[in-house]
Amino acid sequence: MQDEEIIQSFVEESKAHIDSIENELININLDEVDMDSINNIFRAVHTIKGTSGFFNFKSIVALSHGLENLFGEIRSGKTSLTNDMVDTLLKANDGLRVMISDLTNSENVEISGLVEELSSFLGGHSVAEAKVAEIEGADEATFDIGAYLMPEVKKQRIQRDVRQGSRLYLLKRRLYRDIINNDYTMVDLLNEINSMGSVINITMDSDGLAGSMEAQDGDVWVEILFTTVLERDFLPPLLGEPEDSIAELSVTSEPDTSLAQKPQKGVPEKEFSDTPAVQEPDAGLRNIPQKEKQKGGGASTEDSVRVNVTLLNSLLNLSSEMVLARNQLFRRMENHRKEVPGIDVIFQNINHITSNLQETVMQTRMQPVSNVFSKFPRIARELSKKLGKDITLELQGSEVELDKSIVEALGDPLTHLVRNAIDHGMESPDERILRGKSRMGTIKLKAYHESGYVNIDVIDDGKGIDTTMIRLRAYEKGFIGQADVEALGEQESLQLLFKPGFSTAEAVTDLSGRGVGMDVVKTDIEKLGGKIEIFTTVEKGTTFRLLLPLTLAIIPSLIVEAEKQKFALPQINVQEIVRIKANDPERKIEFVNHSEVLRLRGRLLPIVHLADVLGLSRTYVDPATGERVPDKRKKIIVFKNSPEVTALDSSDQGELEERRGYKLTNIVRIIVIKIGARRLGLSVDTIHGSEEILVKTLPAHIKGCNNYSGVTILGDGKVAMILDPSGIIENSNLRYIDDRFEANNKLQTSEAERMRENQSLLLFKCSGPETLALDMAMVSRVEEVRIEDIETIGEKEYIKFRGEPLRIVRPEDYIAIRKNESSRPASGKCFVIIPKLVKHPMGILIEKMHDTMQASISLSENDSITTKGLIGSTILNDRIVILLNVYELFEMANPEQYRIEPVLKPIEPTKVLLVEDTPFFQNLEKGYLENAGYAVTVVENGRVALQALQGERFDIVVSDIDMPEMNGLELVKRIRSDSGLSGMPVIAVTSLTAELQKKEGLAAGFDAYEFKLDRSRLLEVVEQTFQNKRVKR
Amino acid sequence: MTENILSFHLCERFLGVDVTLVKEINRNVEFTPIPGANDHIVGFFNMRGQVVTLFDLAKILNLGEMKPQEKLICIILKTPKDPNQVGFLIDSPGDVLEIDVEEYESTPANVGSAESEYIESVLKMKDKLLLVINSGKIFCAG
Repeated sequence: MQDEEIIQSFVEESKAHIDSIENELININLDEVDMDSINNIFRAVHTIKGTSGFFNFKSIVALSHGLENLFGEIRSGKTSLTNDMVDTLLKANDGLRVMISDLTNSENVEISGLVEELSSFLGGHSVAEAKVAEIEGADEATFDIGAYLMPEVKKQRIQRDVRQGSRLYLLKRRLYRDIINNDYTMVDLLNEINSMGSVINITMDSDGLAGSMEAQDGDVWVEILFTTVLERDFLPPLLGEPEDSIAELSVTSEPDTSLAQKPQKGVPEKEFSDTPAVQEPDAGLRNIPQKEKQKGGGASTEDSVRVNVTLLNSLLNLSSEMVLARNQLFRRMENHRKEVPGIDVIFQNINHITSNLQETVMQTRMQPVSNVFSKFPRIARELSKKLGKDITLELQGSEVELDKSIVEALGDPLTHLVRNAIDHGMESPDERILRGKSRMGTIKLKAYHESGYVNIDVIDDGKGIDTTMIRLRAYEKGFIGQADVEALGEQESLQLLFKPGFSTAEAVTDLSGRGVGMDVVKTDIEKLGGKIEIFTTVEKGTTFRLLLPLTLAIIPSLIVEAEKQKFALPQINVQEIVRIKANDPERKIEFVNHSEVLRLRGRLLPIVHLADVLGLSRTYVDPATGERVPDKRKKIIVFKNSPEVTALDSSDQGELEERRGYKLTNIVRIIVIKIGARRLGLSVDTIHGSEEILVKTLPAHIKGCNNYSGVTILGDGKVAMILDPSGIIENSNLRYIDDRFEANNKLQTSEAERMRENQSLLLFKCSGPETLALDMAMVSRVEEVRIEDIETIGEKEYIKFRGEPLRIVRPEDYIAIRKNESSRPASGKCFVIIPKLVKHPMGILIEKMHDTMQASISLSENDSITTKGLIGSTILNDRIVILLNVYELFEMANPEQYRIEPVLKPIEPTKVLLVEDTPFFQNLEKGYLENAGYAVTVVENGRVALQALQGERFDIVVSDIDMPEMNGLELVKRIRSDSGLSGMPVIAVTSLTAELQKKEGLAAGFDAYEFKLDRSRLLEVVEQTFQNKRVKR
Repeated sequence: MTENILSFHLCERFLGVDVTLVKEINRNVEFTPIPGANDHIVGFFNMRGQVVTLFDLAKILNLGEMKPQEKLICIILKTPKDPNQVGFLIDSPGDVLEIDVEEYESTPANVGSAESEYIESVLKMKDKLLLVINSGKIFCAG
């Protein structure tokens, strides 16, 4: 047990040493080697060697010994550091790391190559040196160490060494018995000593030979005087000598020494060795990484201790528990506070301390990203060297902190991104110069806080990603169809990089390999609850942005209830919550066979009840008996007019009854969750609101329950399961179309869904029974007027509106709907709709307003209800609704002002390509244009439009912005970039008229940007644009 | 040599567990059932911020259904190495008995396989038998 602990601490310590060695090595400036860092490395290597020797890890000893030898020489100036040497040293350091991470197999690691490589740098120096030393020693065989009768030179050497923090030792061995008979030579011994310090003097004592006759071969005492920075405790294991053979000598007997400090046994060596580093902190600062290191590294060695993670975690647990206990205490004591004087202050105190305690404990889990950043200088160095590229790596924001688990999990994805950036993103130096860039490429790793997330950017100034190549590649791989090769936008194309199996080895050449294993990166990041974004500009570079939550341990989640049991649902997967009232005609649950579905924005959403997924039996409270009874119904919502009027238990039910006095209806809340492209409506009994929960791992005893991703303890002290949305989707027996197919369709369907324009309609009726509708976008306001106020002048009727006479029209007078003259009341109230976007405003007199309604309108095909003044008809809520065409109505009512003169009467009419996805607008706009004499071809989105443009000649394109598959912006970009089409006049007509969007549209290449319902303006603009372009041509 | 055994009652059986393995006895347990989990797991319970997995020992040992109780009592075991805390419901705790190791007898041959696997030894008390459970086997993450 004891040993294991010691070995564990040896491993941790050694890892820290190895890290610091690596750091020092990478930051070493070859032209101006900083002796402090060499000393640091030397000491670190030594410690590793010493301790591993103690545990008898021979391979580690051998390798660290090799390292140490080399550093010994560098230190003493016998060898100077070269770039190759640094590489080898780094490699050797890695070797150490490998062995130390896996101690049991450390003996099997092949290190002889490394050791040889290391010793090749030593050349013959060490051997020669040793020989000299030996001879030297032999010459002075009679030298008496005890008396320190040494030549002045040697005394000075000792003094110099001691001043630099070394200590003086004396090693005493018998030449034959201890050295030669052990297959050891003097040279070995001296080398060994020289590797960690320097030999000052050697004496051979021949007295022993003469005196001890019983020694078979006779023996000679060898005494070696040497200095080293190491403490005495390290020496015996290092040299493989018994403890009593080494003595530390005090240098006090030096009479003329100028030493201020005299090293003695027990004085910590650290004091000496660390001083120089502190004194000249700026000495070695040349680049950012080192600065960072100095800042962070300095603190980490001095102000921190190693703590077991489980200890920290239990501390975290306890502190959150303490918060809970505090709350309970407060609640219980609430009423007794006044009884005990002074207790309020104490409560307040406890309150503060507890909160602070919890926060602080949470902070212990936070770690700076420098922990993962620090390895990148090395990676960048090696890779760029290997690939013959010139790259600097800049680190920014290394001090930004993230939860430990996130920092740890970031290593792989970030390495991937940095590697990709160096390998594929960066051009070779020659190519860079050719393209007018600086020879040296820059890769930036930047961490910063943004809106509650930590962002990490991997920015390169390389060649960027060519999205066309991605599309082609994706097409070859069958991820997208032929049409998509043309159609996909930039972001969509970049998303293809994340497809599993998108890139292969051959893609490295084809596609410059961006996206090798990017799917893994994406999954890794998403596992952490993060997101990844790509921004790229060809020739300029690429940015990969990781958006990461600050901590994994605490996540926001919805607390939901099913069958009286609370569950936590991570909010990250929640898309929206739909509240369904009974009798709401817009949102109702329908059935496909026996499965419930909800129509949500034009798509069917499968609905499952949480209790069903989890296998809880659904119950309700019988209103008669007040008992919970199994609920056998499938339906989760009951309509008032439904024959099946059973009440369903839920607190919604209770809430509803209390608040509105309703009975037998209820509200169902459906949480729409989304994982990838899979969506599911989860029906729950109650939603308790959102809470930040502390995630605990699921105890190991719960196996095969993929419904849960963890457990947490709620505010009331009860354990609650954290639901795993992906598990739930899996367990709901939902068969989604297979992922491949889905991937193909995903973009299209989701976009189509998003894009489908919901029109806001005003439903009203005139004197007849028909329901008419008008797009709200065309309504300026609706005025309530008294019928008495309507004045008749000639044939026309007027009202006073804002002090001016306003002509009003009755639609039934002009269009073919039923007129009910007799029921026209002579007094009472009626309404006037005042439309906007018309030149000569008139009011539309209506009798009654029904409703306003959001609906996506599909005009009935083969519409028999087409007549002038109407756009068409549609069915809403099982009623036929007639859509009014205001322009035509006004034209009929006031032909003089509203007549549209056919603009052109050429032999060949001007051909307009109308790109519009909403049937309503298709009809409307087509009508305007055709009336004005244009020949109109209608297509439903940008992609089809492009195809049409390829096949046929058009004079002008009028396009909507929001469309599925390819939107207007993308379309105009394509048109502008196509040499054959670039001159084509393109006008945007849209329902989005914000300034910003307009700017964006014009920037994208539209000639004009107009609101789609303003007919005259539209026609004007079409005409103008067309003429302008023609002139230009 | 003697060992201390914490005795307890469950489904009219007299059972025991090595007291050195017991962390605490918790009365008035409020647990959260885990829908979809294994039958022999009752649920989770919050012991001062630690989530304890509660087992249904009666089911594991094939003793039949536990009789419903107003206040649930459970024994929580020490798990020095395992981060997962485990406990099991009992009807009522008994005394800690000092037992001579010599008195232990291995499970009789005619005891069913599940029981014999989970019962470490049988002790002949004056008027009844004490079954000492093998908690290591019962609660090793299964």
